[in-house]
This record gives sequence, C-alpha cells and structure tokens, in this order.
Amino acid sequence: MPADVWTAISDFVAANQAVVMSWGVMALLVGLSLVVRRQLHAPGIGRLQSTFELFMEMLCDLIREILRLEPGPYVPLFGTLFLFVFVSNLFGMVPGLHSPTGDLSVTAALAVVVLFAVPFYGVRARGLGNYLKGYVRPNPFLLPLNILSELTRTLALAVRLFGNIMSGEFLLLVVVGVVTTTLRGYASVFIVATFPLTLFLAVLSLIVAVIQAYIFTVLALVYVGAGVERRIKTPQ
Amino acid sequence: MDAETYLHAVRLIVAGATMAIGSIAPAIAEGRALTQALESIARQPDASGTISRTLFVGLAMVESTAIYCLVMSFIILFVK
Repeated sequence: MPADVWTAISDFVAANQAVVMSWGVMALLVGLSLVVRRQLHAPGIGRLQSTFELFMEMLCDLIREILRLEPGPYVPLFGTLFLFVFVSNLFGMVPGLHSPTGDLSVTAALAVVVLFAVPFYGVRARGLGNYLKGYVRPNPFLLPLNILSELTRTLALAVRLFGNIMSGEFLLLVVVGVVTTTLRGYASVFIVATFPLTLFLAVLSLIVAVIQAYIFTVLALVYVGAGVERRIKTPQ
Repeated sequence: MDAETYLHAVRLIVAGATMAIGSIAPAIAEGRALTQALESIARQPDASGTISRTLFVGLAMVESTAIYCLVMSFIILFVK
C-alpha cells in the first residue's frame, strides 16, 4: 500500500527530525565531495573546485595560526566539523527543512566528538604521561577544576550552538505566531506588515549561522590546542 | 489554584528571571570586549585578523555564563 508507506515515512520523519535532517546534510556533503572529486580529473579549475580549495586554504591557515603546528593531521576532523555545522545551520533556511543543529542531541554529539578529540590529539602529540601531567598543572589541587572545566566547556559548546540556532527558528515562529493568534481577524494584513521584521530576523539568523559555525570550529581548535601544547615550555 | 498549577507558574517565572538576570552581566561584558576590540582594530588595522579571532574565542568564554543560565532555566522548566 503506497499510502501506508507514505504515512509511515512521514511519521518517521516527524519523530526523528534531527536524525533525518542530519542524513540530508551528510548526503549533501558527500554528494558535493563526489562531484568535486570527479572535477579534479577534468582539465582546468571549476567554480566549485576553487570554492573548496579556498575553504581548504582558509582552514589550514586557521589551524596553523591557532595550533602553531602543521595542519596535516587536524584537517580531516576540523574540516568535517566546520562543514557539517555550517551546512546544518544553513539547512534551516530552506523552507520545509530544519537545522539538525537546532536539536540539542546533535550538538551534544558534536561536542562529545570534541571532548574525545582533545585527549586523542593530546596523547598523540605529547605522549600519555605528559598529557596526563597537564591535568595537575600548575598544582595538583587544580585537578578537579581541570576535569570540571573540560566537562563544562563541552556542555557550553553544545548548548551555545543549539541555543543560537534554535532561538533563530523560534523567534520567527513567535513573531508570526503572536501576530496570528492575537489579531485573528486581521491576521493576513499583519503578516504582511511583519514581513520586514521576519526578513530582518531571517538575515540575522543567517549571520548567526555562519558565525556560530566559525566559533564552534575555532573553539574546538583552541581546546585541542590547549591539550596538545600543554607541556611546551619554550614555544618556538 | 492547586499545587501543580502553582508549581508550574513558579517554574515559568523563575526560569524567565534566571534568563533575564543571568544575561545582564554577560551582555555588558561582551559589549565592553567588543568596544575594546573595535578600538584596537581602528588603531591597528593590520592586526584585525588576530584580534577578531581572539575576540570570538573570548566572547564565547564570556557567553558561557549566559549559557549556564539557559541550561539552568531548561532544567527548572523541564525537569520534574
């Protein structure tokens, strides 16, 4: 029965909106990457390829400036984080779609990735002993605080992204919703009247989407950088 | 008004107050940081890249206070 299948599918999408939207973002990113990869073999540089090369260059510069290390091993993780968060934030701008990052579970998953990336890169760069010693510096009394700060900054990372993206969508909903419920009779007139306001809010959330993706990546880099550089006494 | 409704009203008021009071200080602090950063960029446009990146990280750190308030108000609202 096609009708049953369709209702089942729409029920599933409604119940697992964040998951389905994440799949959409992943499919978009993988598809774009495949297209760009195919273009690599063609002669000349296409528009898409130059966009991606520009992005890669900016990412490498960012990593080099923050970590003061060669960006090689850090590019895959942070490039993926940035692209995923960036595309997810902008996904909500398309009518009918929602930002996966407007869901706390998605941003929490991303933050947990960062939480585990810190010891991973730290141990790889400094060795296990040196990395663990970083927790008792400058003084063993600060051990609980160091561990606590690692957890709370992960929480803040997740809630920051979630709050910013969710509030953007919510604000639009509230503005339109308040107008339509309080001025029921003249709703259509007032929706037209609030159009400039909603347009402004949409532009604002567009800016927030780009800035938050950047902030998420930079903060993740700073956290990893703190884990990697913890024991360096004489920076070159 | 029964106890359940009363509790719900208190929850709403306290969550709103948490957010309202808790975002005052971060807002002032972020404004000050932004002012300083703009002044520095006006004085030394060459360093604008470093300044704005540090500004973003600093703002994120300042913002975490407001984020903890948001988490607290969520807990107040939704954890029964």
